Amino acid sequence: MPYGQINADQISTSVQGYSLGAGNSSLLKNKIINGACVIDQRNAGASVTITSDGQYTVDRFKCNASQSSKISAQQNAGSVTPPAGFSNYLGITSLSSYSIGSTDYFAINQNIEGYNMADLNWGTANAKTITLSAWVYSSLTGTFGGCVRNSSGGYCYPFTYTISSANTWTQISVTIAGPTSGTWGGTNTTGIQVYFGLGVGSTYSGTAGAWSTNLYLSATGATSVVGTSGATFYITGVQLEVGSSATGYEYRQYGQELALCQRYLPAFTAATPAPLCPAYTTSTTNARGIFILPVTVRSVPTGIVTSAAGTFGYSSGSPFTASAVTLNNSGSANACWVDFTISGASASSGGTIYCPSGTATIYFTGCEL
Amino acid sequence: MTTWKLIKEPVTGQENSVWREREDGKQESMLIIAEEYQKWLSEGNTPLPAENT
Repeated sequence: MPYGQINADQISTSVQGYSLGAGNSSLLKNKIINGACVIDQRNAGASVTITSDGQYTVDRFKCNASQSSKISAQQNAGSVTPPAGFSNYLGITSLSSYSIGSTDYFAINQNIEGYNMADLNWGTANAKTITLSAWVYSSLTGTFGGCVRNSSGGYCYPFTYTISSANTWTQISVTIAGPTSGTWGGTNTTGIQVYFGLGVGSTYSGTAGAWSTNLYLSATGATSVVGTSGATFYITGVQLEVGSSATGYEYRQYGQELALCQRYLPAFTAATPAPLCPAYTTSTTNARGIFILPVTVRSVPTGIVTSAAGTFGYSSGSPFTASAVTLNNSGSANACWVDFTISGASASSGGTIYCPSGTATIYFTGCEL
Repeated sequence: MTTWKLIKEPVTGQENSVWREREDGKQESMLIIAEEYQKWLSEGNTPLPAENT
């Protein structure tokens, strides 16, 4: 019962001309994760002032900032209506009128894992053309810039795009011929870095529209968002796909997008009195929680960020509230031990880590790119 | 950010993680091999000693 014929990687009859990795008919074409800014595990919609370079905002996106406290980032900042088809966006607000120096840089960045871009064949004669697209909105108008580059910054493609109308969602796209040179990671480290500039000094700004071996984050002459106090820059619908034109945004189901994010940030939440994970005591003063990570993470976690210790407890019939929470050093990409300091428990008992008060949150760090 | 404090592993007693309270009220624990902690050390910082238990 032939219904369409699979020929190599093309559906050659039912959806003619579209490869499975490109076009409106494709599956998992978008190499950007959380491009619609739906997942915000770290901040749950709260505004954060960017105080350190590389601080994460909504999942998979981070802010590069050479100066502290010049911008804030928030899912749905300003509460404007997102573009049709979207419910969320990442909003950046300038907190001052900062005149950027030659070596300053402010940008939104997402790093694409090497495994997820190896099919592009970048760095070879068979390098594929890609198109980066997004919906952007700013209180400013003009020429804005960004950059696509490798992890060392030794191979960069600055680009520009135009926002003609202030406070209006504009869809932009940039098509980039794949680089036939340069070193592009192909495993679980960074393969491609994507930047949207918010104000980048001359040292890190290059000529748009051409590959360069200089280290850039944006294009020469681009608008500086940080230069105007209160200026805004919002973005959503970010997509990086194979091909020479932007196709419709790939909406993934929430569970799929969350799982993709969890590879880089596994997080757990429980409101009292819900359980978090099974546990056992190693002594009368330590309960060891066994956190089975929701997906295999990119690399073994090296840290945790938690709510106050008192939001965690150990129960083996009797409840014990924790006074400290620390990551144990014997973790894997699939499970981690976390030690909870308690008092007066029975040694070698089995039980549960749960939330005795308020809401307990814990997320594992060190897996992000 | 407050200073990192060394933590002894409850079973082995080895000091292989650190802990601190963040300004946003959240708490943070990190292995001493973590890139962020190593960068903090390289900037000339010193962690608080672990408690004797």
